[in-house]
Amino acid sequence: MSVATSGWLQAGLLVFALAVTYRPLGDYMAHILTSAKHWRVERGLYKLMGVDPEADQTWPVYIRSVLAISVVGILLLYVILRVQDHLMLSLGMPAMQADLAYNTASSFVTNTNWQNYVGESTLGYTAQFLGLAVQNFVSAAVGICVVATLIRGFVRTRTDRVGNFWVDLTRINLRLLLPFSVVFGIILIAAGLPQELSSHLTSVNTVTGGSGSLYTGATGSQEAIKMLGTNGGGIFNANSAHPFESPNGFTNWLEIYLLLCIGFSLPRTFGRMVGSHKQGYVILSVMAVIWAGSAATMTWMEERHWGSALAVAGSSMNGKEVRFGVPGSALFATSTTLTSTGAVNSMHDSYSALGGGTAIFDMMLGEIAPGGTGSGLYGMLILAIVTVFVAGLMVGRTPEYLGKKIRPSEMKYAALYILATPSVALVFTGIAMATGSARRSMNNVGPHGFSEVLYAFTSMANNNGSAFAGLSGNTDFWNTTGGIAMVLGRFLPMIFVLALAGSLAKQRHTPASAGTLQTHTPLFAGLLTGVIFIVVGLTYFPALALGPLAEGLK
Amino acid sequence: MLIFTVILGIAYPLVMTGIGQVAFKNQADGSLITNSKGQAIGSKLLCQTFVSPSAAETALDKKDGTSGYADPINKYFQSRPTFAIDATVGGYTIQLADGCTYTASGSNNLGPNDPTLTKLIGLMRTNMAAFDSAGGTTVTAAQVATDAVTESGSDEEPYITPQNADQQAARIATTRGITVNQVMALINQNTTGRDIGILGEPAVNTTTLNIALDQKYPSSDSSTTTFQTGATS
Repeated sequence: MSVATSGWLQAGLLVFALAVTYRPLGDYMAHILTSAKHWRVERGLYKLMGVDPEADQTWPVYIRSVLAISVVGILLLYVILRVQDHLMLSLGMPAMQADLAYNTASSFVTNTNWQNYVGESTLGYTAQFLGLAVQNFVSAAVGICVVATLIRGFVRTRTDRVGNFWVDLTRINLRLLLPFSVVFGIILIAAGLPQELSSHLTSVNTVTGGSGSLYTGATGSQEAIKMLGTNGGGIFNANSAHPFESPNGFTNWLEIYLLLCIGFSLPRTFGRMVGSHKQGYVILSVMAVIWAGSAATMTWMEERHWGSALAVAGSSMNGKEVRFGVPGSALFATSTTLTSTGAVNSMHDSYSALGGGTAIFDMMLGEIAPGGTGSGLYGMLILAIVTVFVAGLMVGRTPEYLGKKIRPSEMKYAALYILATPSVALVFTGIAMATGSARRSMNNVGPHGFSEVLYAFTSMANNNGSAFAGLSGNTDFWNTTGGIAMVLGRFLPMIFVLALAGSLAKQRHTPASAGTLQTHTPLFAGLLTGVIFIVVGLTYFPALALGPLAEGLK
Repeated sequence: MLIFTVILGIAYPLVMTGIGQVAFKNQADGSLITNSKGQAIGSKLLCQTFVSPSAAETALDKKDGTSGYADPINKYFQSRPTFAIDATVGGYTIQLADGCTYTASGSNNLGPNDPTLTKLIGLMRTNMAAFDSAGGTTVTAAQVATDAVTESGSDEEPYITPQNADQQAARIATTRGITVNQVMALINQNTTGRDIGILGEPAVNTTTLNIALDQKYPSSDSSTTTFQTGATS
C-alpha cells in the first residue's frame, strides 16, 4: 500500500472514530453538567471542601473560584519543583531554579504545558505525580467548567447564577477525565508505554559494551491525561516523538484521537444543553472543515518538502520519526496546534516553511477547531457572537444568538476576548525581537529565526505549549515573559467569557422573529468560517508575512 | 486542591502503576532486552549506538570535554544519524555524532532552508554512499535512503526504513562473511508493518536486528569507517 493511501485511511479511521463517539460522549458530558444527582463520593468531597453543592454562584464568585484554585495551584507546583531534591522518589534530581519553576508552574496550571526543561533529566516521580499530573487534570477540567457557564448563560433566563464551580470541577474530574484516563492509560501501557516506580534509573550495558541509564518513568498514566486533557507536557524532552511516549503507529493514532475527542464532542454537549442539536452540528461542521483543511494543507506541504535542505534530503523527514512517517506526523501536528495540546511527535522547527507556518496559523485561529477542552468551544461561541453581530450590522437589526440579544455590553466582552490573546502574543513578540538577549536564543537564521519567536509567543499566549524547539527558552527573559504571557493568555479571556455568561443569563428569552438570523443553517456556518479567517487574518497577517511567508515564498 | 492532589496525584498514578506492573510487566518496565545472564542490555524501543570513538573525537575530547564524533562499526546496522555542530574546532565542523544517550531526547531543530543543515545532509549522502558500497554493490549518493541522512525527532528511535536496511545489507554481509540473503532474512524478521495495516509506516528495528545478527552470525571484526567532516563556514 502506498504512503498516500495508508495516510488517507489513517485519517479516515480517525474521523470515523470521532464521529462514532460524538453523540455518546457529547451527551454524557451534557449529563455531567446538568444532572441534579450527586454521587455519594462527591457529596463526601463537598463536605470536606465545605461547599454547598446546591448553591449556584454568580459569575464574579465563579471566576474568583477559578482564579483561587489556579493561584493555589501555581504556588503549590512552584514549591514542589523548588524542593524536589528533598522529596522521596525524586531519582536524585536537583531542585529546579526559581525562574524555571515559575515558568513551569504557570505553564501547567494554564493548560499550556510549555516546557523549558528536559523532562527525563529534571523531574522525578513525585514532581510528575503531585505536581504535573494534578494540574493536567485540573486545568483541563477548568476549561470545561468555563464553557459550561457560557452555555448556561444562553439557556438560563433572568438569573445571576451561572453554576457552581466546585461541583463542575469535581464532576468533570471524577466522572470524565479520571475514568477515561484509567481506561486509555491501560491501553497505552499494553501497547508499550512504561509504567514503573523504581527508586533508580534502569542501568543497561549495551551491545557494544557501553553503559547507559534508562529513564522509563510512569509514562502510561501521564500520557493518557496529557492527551485527553489537551495538556501536552511530556515526560521526555522529545515528547510524543520519544518511543517511550508513543512506541508505534497505533499509539500515535490513539493519542491523536484522545487529544481531539473531547473538543470535537463538546458541540453535541452544547446542542443538547441549548435544546437544539442543529446548533451543535453547525459549530461541529465549522470545526471539522478547518481541521480537515489544515490537515490536508500541512500534509501536502510536508510531502512536497520545499526548502533547500529538504531538497537535498529528498523528503521532510528531518525531525520526524520513521515509524510515524510524514502523514502520521502532519496529522498529529495539525491536531495538536488546532487544540491547545502542544504535544509533538515530530519537530515543528524542521517542518517546511509553509508547513510550520500552518502550525502557527492554526494556533493563531485561537485554537477553536476543535480547541482545548472547553476553551475551544468558548472561543468558537465568542466568534459566533461576533458573526451574528456582523450580520446584524448588515441588515440593521439588534443581533440575537440562541434567543439572547447581543447588546453593547455583550459585544464589549466578545471584542475584549478577541483582542486579548493577539495583544499578548504580538506585544511580547515585539519585545523579544527588540531585546538582544532574547534574540540570541534563536537557533535559526533569517525569517526562520523570527518564526521561532513568533511561534513561541503565539503558542504561549494561546496556551498551546508546542514550540519551534530550536529556541533556547530556559533563560531569564524567556522564563519570565513566557510565564506572564501564559497567565494573561489563559485568564483574561476566561474573565471575559464569564462576564459574558453572567450578562447573558440575566436577559429574558427573546423569541425568534421573521427578521432573526437563523444560526443552525449552512449559511451561518459559512459566515462563521469567513469571520474566523478575516478576524484572524487581519490581526496576524503582518507577523506571518515576516516569518513563514517570507521564508516559504521566496 | 489538596483533595485533588490526593486523588489525582497519588491514587491515580499508583493504581495505574499497580495495574501496569501486574498485567503488562514487560511493557511497564520499558520493554527491556536481557542477555543470557539476565542483565538488561537495552530496550527494544530505543536505539543504541553502534560506533567507536573516532580519532578526531579522541583528539577533540581533550579540547571540549564532550563526546560527539564517532565512527560507525561496519558489522552493525546504523540507526538514523545525530548531527552535532561543534563550534570549538574553528568555525563549524559537522560530523555524524553518537546519539541515543537516553538523557536528553530531541533533534537538531534546524529549519528547512538552513545552510548548515543543507551542507550536513549533503555530507551525509556522500558518507553513507561510501559506507554502504561493499561486496560489489555500489550505492550512489543519490540512492541513499532519505532517513539515513536526516535526524529523527527524538534521537532515540531504533527504527529505519526497509529501504535504508536493504541498502546496508551488502556491507553487513561482507563484514560478517555471510550472504546478503542471510542478512535480508533477519531484516524481515525484525521489520514491523503498519498497525492494523494502515497506522504508521513500516520500520526495521536496528536494536533487535543487531542483537539477532550477533547471536546468529557472531563476528570478531571490529573495523570502522571514518566519516568525512566538512567546515560549513
